[in-house]
Amino acid sequence: MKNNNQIKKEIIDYFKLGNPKLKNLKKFPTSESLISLGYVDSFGIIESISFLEKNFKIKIKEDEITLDNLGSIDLMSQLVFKKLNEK
Amino acid sequence: MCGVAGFILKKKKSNKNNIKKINQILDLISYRGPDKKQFISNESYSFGTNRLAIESIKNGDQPIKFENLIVGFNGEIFNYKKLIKINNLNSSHIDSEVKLIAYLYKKYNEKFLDLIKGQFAIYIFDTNKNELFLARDKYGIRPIYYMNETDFVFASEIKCILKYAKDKINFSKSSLAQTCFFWTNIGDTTSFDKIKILPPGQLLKFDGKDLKVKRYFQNQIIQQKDENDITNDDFYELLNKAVTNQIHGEVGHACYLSGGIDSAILAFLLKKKISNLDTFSVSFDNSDYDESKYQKKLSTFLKTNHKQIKISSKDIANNFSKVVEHAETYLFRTAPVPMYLLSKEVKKSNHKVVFSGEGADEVLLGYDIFFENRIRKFWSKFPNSKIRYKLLQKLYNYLPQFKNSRYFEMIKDFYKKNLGSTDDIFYSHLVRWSQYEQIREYFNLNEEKYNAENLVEQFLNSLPKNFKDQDYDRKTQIIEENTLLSNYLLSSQGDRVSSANSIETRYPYLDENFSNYIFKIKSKLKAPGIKSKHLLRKSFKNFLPDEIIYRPKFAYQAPEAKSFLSENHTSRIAHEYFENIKNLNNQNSDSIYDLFKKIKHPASSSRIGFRENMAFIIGLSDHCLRNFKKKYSNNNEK
Repeated sequence: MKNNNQIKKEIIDYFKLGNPKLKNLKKFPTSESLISLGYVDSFGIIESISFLEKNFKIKIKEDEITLDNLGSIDLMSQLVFKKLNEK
Repeated sequence: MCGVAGFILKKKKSNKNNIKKINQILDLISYRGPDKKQFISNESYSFGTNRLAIESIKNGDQPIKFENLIVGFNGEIFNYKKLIKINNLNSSHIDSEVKLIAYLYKKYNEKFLDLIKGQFAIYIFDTNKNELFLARDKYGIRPIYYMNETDFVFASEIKCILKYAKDKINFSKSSLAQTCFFWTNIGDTTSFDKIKILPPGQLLKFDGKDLKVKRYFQNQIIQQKDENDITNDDFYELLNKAVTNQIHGEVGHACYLSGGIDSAILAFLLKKKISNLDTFSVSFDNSDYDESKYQKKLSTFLKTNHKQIKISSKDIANNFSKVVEHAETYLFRTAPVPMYLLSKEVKKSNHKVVFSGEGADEVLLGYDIFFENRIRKFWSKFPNSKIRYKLLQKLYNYLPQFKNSRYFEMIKDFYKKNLGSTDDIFYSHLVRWSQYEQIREYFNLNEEKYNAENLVEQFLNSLPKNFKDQDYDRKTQIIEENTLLSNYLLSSQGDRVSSANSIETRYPYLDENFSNYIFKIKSKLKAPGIKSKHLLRKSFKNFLPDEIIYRPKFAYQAPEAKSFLSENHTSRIAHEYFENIKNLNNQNSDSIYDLFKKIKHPASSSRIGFRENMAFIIGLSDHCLRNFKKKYSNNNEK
């Protein structure tokens, strides 16, 4: 069973892969929206959700797509953690 | 369409040598004009043309000697017969476009450019003054490149100059930065440092020492026509006239049919003149990009002989490097590849000319960016509004992340960037251009001259002086005309990929009389609110199915990075690129390796993010350009 930190690390690593600017940051922003910060573009939201679903083998429901659930890396990993626990 | 090339030697060489050279460089672009190769050469200069015979097939060989002038050109002068009449010329004496150009130049000098209407790249050498004159049409439909180093050399394509030159030519880092920023080169930049392009609407004079380039065409600024002044009938007639004028030449004419309204209207107007009209479309096996439902509907409705080619991701990967060899520049997306394959199909049907809808989105306000600009301006007046930004959702409804309101709530901040900077003269493009900061990280573009503000300043300097005085819609149009339209849609996705198959493209929406008239109509009439191309739709609503007339915008796109690379598959070209990354000194290899990993990641989505995709395609085209340069360079340098 993955813990919250492992989940967070996998998400961060994935975001870093396609984004040298994020990768080079001294402190990766985990509590803010990467879209608001300008690191992720409008395509990025679909991509992020698709990654979470495929990578953690979970299903994110339509009504779960909210800023409260996915608005930052912290929130994303919490959602994933919750879903994995529900399994 | 033809291919032209020539050179003026600063130190004389034997004519034998020059003949060999001119033959050699013309042969490289023989596909531009397979009907006849001719040149005029001596110890000081050579000028040549590969001709694609379309008009005055019997009398139009070129270059010609006309008293003290040597004249050749690539393109069409659509009002050529009219000019012969107006000038009371003897049509048995002036019996081709090239002779008319010579005559008019003799009579009016460079002012003749105000008289001719068409798509062209012209060269005229005055043997008395030893002066070369080059000119290019107003939108840059036909290309011309030049280099002034050991010798002065010009050509329709860069490969001729590379092959000719003994000079050391390097890749232009500015071009790479510009492509990452504007999506295309700007001004006279090409992907090679010493080679320039003559920008649209400009002319060049070279007298053996001094080189002068100047703009002969200024953009229209007047916007005065009100609703009462333009009727649906007027509009119909204007466009009909533009199409009729361009049915020019002694060969058949075909038409592209994308499934959208622009090409549908062209096919409709052409069909009235040409009963057995052939139409051609691209379809995709990936339904995200496919428009074949509308293409079939239209071809049945218009009763055209329709041919369709189906493009797979494999086709994209297999033909990308060939397309870069023709585009001769960095590419930021793969969309030129299907157009290359489509013109091949047109050629197979024995055509020489095909009509295409480019220009309609610029002239008639079709692009999302016009409306994104309007919505952001509206939103900026009340940034906390819970409603105003939702117009963006309506605008981009064809994109999945917008269609779904939940997704949209999360991405709206993306469009909030610089929302308040409404005084910025480039306000319309601030969101698009802000992506540069991310994209440049994949490349070694750290020097100050590649900072955003310097690139923007460089761009401003390349624009007409009256740019700042235009209203905001016209400003947006001018930015589009000077980036995406002339340096990508009409070139990488237009002239270069169709010429590769000896096909000439025609663009009635860029007809000078038509576009100038349309510029004078107030924007709110052309497209009120966020109703794109409203005037066009209104004027043709009785002639085409409602489904086409009121079809929401669907941007032409092709499968991108994942065509080259996915979890279980690496195309040959992507493999070569991967192996070569360490040698590509403009690229940040660690970031590109990461990008490869990301695209191949089993959990990555079928479409990767916009910026990552753009970085990958630009990087891949950089790799292809290296091969291109090796293939065509004269001095075998790497």
